[in-house]
Amino acid sequence: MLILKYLFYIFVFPGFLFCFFAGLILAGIDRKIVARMQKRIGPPILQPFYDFFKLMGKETIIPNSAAKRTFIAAPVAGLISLVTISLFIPIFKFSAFNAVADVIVIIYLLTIPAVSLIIGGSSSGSPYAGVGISREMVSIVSYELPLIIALLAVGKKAGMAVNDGMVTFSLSKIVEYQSLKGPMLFHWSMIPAFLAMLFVIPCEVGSLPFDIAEAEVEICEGPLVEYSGFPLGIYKLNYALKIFIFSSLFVTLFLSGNGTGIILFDAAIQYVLCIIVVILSVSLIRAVTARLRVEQMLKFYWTYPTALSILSLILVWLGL
Amino acid sequence: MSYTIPIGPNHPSLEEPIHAKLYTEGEIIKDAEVFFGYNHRGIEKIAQERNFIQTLVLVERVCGICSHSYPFTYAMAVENISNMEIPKRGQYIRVIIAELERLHSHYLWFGIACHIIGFDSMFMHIWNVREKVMDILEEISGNRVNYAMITIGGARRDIDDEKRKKILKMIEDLSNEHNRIKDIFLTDKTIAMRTKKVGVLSKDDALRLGAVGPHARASGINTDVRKNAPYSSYDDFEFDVPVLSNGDVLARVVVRVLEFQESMKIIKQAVENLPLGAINLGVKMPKVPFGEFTARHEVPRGQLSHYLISDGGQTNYRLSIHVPTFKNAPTIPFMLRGNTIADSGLIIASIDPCFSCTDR
Repeated sequence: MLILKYLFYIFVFPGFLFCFFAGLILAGIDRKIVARMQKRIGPPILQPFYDFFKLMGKETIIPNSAAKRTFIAAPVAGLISLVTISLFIPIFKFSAFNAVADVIVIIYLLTIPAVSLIIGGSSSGSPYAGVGISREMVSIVSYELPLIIALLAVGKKAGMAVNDGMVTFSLSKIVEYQSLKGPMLFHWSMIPAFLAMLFVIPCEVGSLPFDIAEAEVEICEGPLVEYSGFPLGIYKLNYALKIFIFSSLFVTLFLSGNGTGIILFDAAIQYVLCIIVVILSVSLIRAVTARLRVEQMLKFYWTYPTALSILSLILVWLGL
Repeated sequence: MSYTIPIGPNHPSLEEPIHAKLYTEGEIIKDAEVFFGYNHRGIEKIAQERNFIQTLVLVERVCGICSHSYPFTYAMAVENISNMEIPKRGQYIRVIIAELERLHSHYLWFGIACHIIGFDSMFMHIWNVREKVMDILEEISGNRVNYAMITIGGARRDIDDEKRKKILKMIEDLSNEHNRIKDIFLTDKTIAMRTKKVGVLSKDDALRLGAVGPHARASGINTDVRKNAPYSSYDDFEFDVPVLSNGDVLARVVVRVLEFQESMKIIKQAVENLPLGAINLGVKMPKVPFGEFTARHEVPRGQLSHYLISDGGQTNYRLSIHVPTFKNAPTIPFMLRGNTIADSGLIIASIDPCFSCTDR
């Protein structure tokens, strides 16, 4: 029975199937909202599904110069790591896997989709992909610093109350703290970290001001330039999953709490919060900015969001 | 890591086929080469076999954006060889269409430039505003492109009082919208980050390589055929020629933004003071004597010249079209050097290229 339960967790909820639908619908909502802001009608909300299934049915062309196995395996590795992250993220009080240091696991797993893009791109042997992967590496370096400092600040804040003053790396501890003392967002010392994390989301998922690695008008989608059919579909799915998983991690860190106790309602509330976060951090920013250059992105992330998260960390350390 | 990166002939940031080879070190472009000629249609050769009215139709198809400028310039060449005096009303109508064309051409370029730097909201907004101009052009001429407003000896269609009112109202709406767009271009932080000090063309280089039009004016060269050698009725109107000295992509945007306002001024003056009288000479098939003439016209992209030789017969003996993009394209490698690959598409697009004209 236990194995069936875990299989259900991995493949249905909160694993693959749930992420699949939630992520693609979220990507569709994002596209629709950006379209409305640009005075366009926009695609139907289900458009990402149509795109995905269309790509699945298309011929997969592998260039002669590509390393065949790596070329196909890279996007799948990214997808698997994303589904694994979803198992670790609690939905209010429910979590499929409960670990002592799941934040650290998540930090490692979050880089794998980006690394899979780098590996896949470099195995394709195109010069556009070459430029794209060097940009992707810079973008990982850019957002990791503020992300980790913000996670530390959250961990410290939660650990003060529930982990004898030590930094906690357990998401369920962080949720427990929030169910005791209210969402993190309502503690004013966490507001700088909240803002920093809002800025990290667009870079992590690779949406507009920071979609430098895949800039289609500059380097023809960079690492994806040689991809078609099934692996391209998986990459597009990865993009949607990244939006969903990162926004739900965000909700868990800052807006979590007791919940209703009924898993269905909790998931629905979490999903609505995810939509709000995505509108704020992905859609709005995408609609009002132009794409930055790669060195401008690094400079931006290592100044404002890093400063904000360090400020939060200091405030927490001072016991505020 | 050094790569040779091909931009084009097919590339998402290019609307038309041009091939640029970038020799790069990491992200920095060390050197570049530009090749074109992917779209050659032999229009100059075809023109030698057509009569003067047929050639008007032919040269109108050289470019889809500045399609009024080509018959306009060609007609000026023919009329000058055969010493025709064009009625004032016809001249004014030609100028109105030419300036309306400049409006929509500049907006087209703003939109594409915004798309290339990834500012899609601005792109959508600008093209939405551009539709106002396209609607008026359709109202006047019946077509959104290839207006067919020119005949040898004047204009083909009249602009009546009702249409004049519509144009004036459109100009009023447009100037409100334009002020908003101008504000965004001049104050938006991300646009400035992507365009300031990018693709700089010094005044010396611009003079040496023979840049023309807004591209040259952004590098500090005061050149405009409408002012330097007024043709048609351009000396009747008051307007300024904006010149900036920075020479970067932002300067090219701002020059066009300012030029847009001047064009609106010209249209307003022309529509308000539209003289009465005939719109053309009523020439069916012109008899063109032996002779040659070079007609020049300031199109949205710079100076266009048509060199026409007539041997007194039914057809053009030789028609040579010198387009602005051909003069501006040699500046591309100089602007690219030292910039990043991220900016290459923008820099190539910043001359407002029209390779359909270049490969006529």
